[in-house]
Amino acid sequence: MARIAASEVNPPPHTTTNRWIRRLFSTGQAYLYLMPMLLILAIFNYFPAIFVFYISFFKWNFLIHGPQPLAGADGLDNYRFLFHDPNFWQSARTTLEFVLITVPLNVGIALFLALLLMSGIRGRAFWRLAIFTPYITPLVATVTIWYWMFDRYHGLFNNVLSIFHVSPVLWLDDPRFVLPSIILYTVWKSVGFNVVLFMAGLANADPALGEAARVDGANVWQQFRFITWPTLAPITIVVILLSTIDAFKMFQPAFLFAGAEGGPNNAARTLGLYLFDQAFLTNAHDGLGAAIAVCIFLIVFTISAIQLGIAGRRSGS
Amino acid sequence: MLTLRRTLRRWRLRPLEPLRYVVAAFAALVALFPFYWMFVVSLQSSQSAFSATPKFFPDWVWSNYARAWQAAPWILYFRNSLFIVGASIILTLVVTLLAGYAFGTMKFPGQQFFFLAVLGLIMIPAEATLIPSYLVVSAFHWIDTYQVQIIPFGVSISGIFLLRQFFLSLPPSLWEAAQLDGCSRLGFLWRIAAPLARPSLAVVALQVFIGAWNAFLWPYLVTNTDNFRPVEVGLQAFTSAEGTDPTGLAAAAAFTTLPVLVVFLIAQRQFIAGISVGGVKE
Repeated sequence: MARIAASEVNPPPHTTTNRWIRRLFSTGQAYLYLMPMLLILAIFNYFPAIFVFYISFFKWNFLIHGPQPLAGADGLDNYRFLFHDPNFWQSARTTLEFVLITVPLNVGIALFLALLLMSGIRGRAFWRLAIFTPYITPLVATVTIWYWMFDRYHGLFNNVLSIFHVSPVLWLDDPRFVLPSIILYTVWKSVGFNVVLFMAGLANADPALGEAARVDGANVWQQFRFITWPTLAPITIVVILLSTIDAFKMFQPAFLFAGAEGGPNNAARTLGLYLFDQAFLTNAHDGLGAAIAVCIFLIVFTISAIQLGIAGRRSGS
Repeated sequence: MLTLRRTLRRWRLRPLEPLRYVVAAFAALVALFPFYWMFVVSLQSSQSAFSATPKFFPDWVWSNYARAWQAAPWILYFRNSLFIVGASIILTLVVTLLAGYAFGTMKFPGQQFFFLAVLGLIMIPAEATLIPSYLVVSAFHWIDTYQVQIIPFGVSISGIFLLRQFFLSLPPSLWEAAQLDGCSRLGFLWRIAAPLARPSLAVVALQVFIGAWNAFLWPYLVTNTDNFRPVEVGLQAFTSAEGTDPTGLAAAAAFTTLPVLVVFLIAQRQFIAGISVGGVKE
């Protein structure tokens, strides 16, 4: 090691050049290692993310023909159309409704279960495994069995209701119930993921802190305010934002339960479903679909930026 | 984090402590019941399935499985899924390992920029780029192929993050010693760094397995024939075709879920650990 240090203190000219070349080579090497990743991301992620804006400025049906200019000179016709499109606003409202019900339910139940499982309960790993299982099982298979449980004539839910002499509910065929039914399924499917996140966040808490506070005579509220909440707040914000993003782009469960039209009276047509409907089904108008995609993109982007901002401020302080 | 128990004690609600087990058991029951129901219905006679009073135990009609298995080209679907999952795991591991190694062990201009560009992808929802992605793969004439279901998913963001963290934690003396022995960077990665990173690689492989097996929307969109359809898309087609055969559907749902359940139960520890790390760091 001493020899290397000496040469660095007083490098002969030719070694400097050599080192420079070597550095250039090793730098280039780093890019070589990144190349496969960059290629895939550039083609299948970055380019589409930019291209979707471009498509949204055209009248475009890519199954039949390429881009055609819109009537308006500024290329914003698709957005103007959406602005006056009752279907768009209905699906936006449906999406918002879905978000506003699903996120508090999901986060509330997950927090409750995580606190329960972290309270020194026996068999913690088993309970966690059970609650997490729905999250990793395939969407289509679980929807298949839930679809049958929701069945209006022979489904489990209505059979059980009939035992209590409650008249059958048309879970997926009633515009008032189709979205709540999908919410029920979604919460069942995804709450385990949030439980695991909360448990990981809570595990970082220092138990000695609570002990000390108790010895110092802090009451329950003070313990919660000064000990529990500061540990809970960061992870709660992460979980809320992640669930909000997931809820805003919700599409697949609605598609499988209610079809591309979003069920009776389009009551379960989310923005994602409306986008799919416009872009890939009969009479496709991909320009309009892209404009809807841009709206989803901007919503998700904004929420993620808030999340990163908060995370950055936390790690910065 | 013993707040709940402490609160119960403080408020002299100690008798309620066993209640925690009741609540936990209830939550586990709700989470697992649909799987039990899938199992029960898959073994029911159609009489029981269509009866007005629920029957909570199976009739052991195994012929439902045989009927469901023969009603669709399941062998083809399973073969497709296995190939797609296997190839996805290999591709993702190679791409992610190389990138994580570069980010974790090398210094190069634009490092910060590239890393942020990768993490920033979390902000781009796949649903929003569905249309242009479809345009890209159809321009490549990749509709109805295997590669369309493999190559676009060759990068795991959380995997790159995980591996970078791991390589950052390797002592630099390891690389220096290897260098003195005349080891190249690639040789170091192959012979020393990658074997050490095996636990992280296992987490990535698991996540890819579950993600690729469960994928629905994209394969549904980019496959037109059974020749390239994975199990999940096959199940969806089967569901729309056999809507009047609930016991057969439940059987199909059961045998398409089984591989995921088995893999998950074997490796659940790594899987949950992977999520915990990724989630908290995000």
